[in-house]
Amino acid sequence: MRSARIACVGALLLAAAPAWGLWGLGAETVKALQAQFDAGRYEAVIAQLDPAGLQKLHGQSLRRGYLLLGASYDKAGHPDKALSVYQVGVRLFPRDQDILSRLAVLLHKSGLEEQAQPLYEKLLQVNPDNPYGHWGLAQIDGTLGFLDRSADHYEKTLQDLPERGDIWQEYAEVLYEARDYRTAELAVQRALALTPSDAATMDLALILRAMNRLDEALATLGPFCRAGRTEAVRACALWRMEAGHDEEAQAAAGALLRRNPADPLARYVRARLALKAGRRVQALQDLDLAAARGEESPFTAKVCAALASLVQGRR
Amino acid sequence: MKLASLLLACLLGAPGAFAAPDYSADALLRAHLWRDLTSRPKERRPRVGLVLSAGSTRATAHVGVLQVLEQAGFPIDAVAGTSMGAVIGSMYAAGRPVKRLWEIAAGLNLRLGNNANSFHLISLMFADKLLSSENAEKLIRDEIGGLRFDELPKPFACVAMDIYTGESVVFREGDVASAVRASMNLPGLFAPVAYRQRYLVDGGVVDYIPIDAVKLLGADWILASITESDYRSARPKTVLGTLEQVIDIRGAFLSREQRSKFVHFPIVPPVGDIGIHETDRAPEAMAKGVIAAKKALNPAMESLLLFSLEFLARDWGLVPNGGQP
Repeated sequence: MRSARIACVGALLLAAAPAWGLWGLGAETVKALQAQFDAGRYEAVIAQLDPAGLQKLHGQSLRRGYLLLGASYDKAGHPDKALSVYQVGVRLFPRDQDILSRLAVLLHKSGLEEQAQPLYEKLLQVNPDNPYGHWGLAQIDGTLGFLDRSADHYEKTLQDLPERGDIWQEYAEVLYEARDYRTAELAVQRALALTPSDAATMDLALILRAMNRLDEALATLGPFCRAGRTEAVRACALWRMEAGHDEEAQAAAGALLRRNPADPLARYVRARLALKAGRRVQALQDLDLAAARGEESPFTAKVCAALASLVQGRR
Repeated sequence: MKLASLLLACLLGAPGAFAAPDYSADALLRAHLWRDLTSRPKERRPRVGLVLSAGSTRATAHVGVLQVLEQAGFPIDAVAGTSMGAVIGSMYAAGRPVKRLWEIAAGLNLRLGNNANSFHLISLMFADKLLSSENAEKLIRDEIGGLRFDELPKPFACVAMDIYTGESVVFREGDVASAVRASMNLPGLFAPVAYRQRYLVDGGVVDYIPIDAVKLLGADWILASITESDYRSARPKTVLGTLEQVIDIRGAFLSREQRSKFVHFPIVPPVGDIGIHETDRAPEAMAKGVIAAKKALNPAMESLLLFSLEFLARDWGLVPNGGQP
């Protein structure tokens, strides 16, 4: 990933080369600093862009200086200092999309969504098509519950960044939450075509199941189940029980319990199957064990405790 | 791709951390049980009642709560509201889309109570001439026509108070618009509404969270959206402000008493600092309703599922007796 990013920056530098002459005083200095940044010598960039170093830069060079200094602090593991640099940069260049984006993204990554949101909005005031403004707002709106607005922002983001599989996947997740399953399926298929990933494949399984295409959902999870991925095996156990495939569900629950004898969902599935088969004592044992796992899975534990009470006629 | 975008794509990646698909035991079990509960006929699951509290402008937060519940496919079988909760609840029960409710609430200062201008307030103070709430009735009628309670797609009830007896009056029959007008008829500001030999004012004075009303509609499990005032933050300096403060204090006391006893799951958007007539803050209240409901959604689903377990277990054949819970 890092080398890919460096390659991207290299391409950027190449593209930007003819513009060096227009960057005003300090253009050569910035060019040298960029080379150091690309080589991963972040501390060196930071050392040279101290207050005295920044004072030597003007115009576009100064702007680039702030971007490089902020990025170097971020890369060197000092996001708090990067934030301060970008905040000064935004005051000096209030309509600069790069600095605004960097500051907004850094705040957003730090969990400061309330502070990031107005910066993304400002970014869209400067340039209504800025994909990073739309992407940031899409994520914030999705997290807060404004699903329609989030989907709108994702659509605008994807107009400019249509090759980003990760964005298609996020878009699919918002559509899934809004129960627009058909469009979610199309979006996640696009994500998988661009950037195959386990997370997107598991999203696809959830979407297919929501559309009542259980066999396809199980087939999608199949490779993960065979590889013994706990979360996938749990889903297979539950979904197979739901579909009345009791033996397969039992086998999946058994596989989970061999790995983790306390797995609360496996205990739940096994208890339901035991109750269905009239094995009440075994079911109650499983339910009691799962009910004791409240710290790990509080809801599953509560359901198992309540079910045990019902079975014993105590509720 | 533009140069700036290329730089950002290379250096920054995704703006924020986005949740991966949730395959935790709790999430899987919740989805499994939810699917079972919501796909069955109404008579084989608990009847879900939604209660929308009073609160004037604060209560526009209910629109945000409704938006989240609708998007999540939360079953709502009956609705009861008081005051602004009645205004919103009546339109929702009549089948008006939440998007439309959002538009109406956002334009509240233009549509509702727009006769509360300085001239009328001076009349109120010096000539003891109260205002009329007929605009509210017109708003409802414009949206839902002359529907009667028994013609609403979802059962609905609203509450007003008889100013002569202090009794709460629950409306479940007759003309919806006039009943809603009575329910949101703020005392001291709007003239009482004459209705069947009674003189009615805002129900928020006696029944801020109309739980009994939704129980009368047969609700087994009750979700309440509550928009009480944080009256301690207000410093009223005008006659109207003082009157609002008294109403808010009374409403907050009632609300606390009611919600602690009878609500299965409360959603409480943080709108306590919004004054009764700050209609320009309705969009903020609705947004806070969305955020509060989104945070509360999974816990609310889990609460309903645990309550419903006996219904589910009976259909699974796991509970020995066959009677209704």
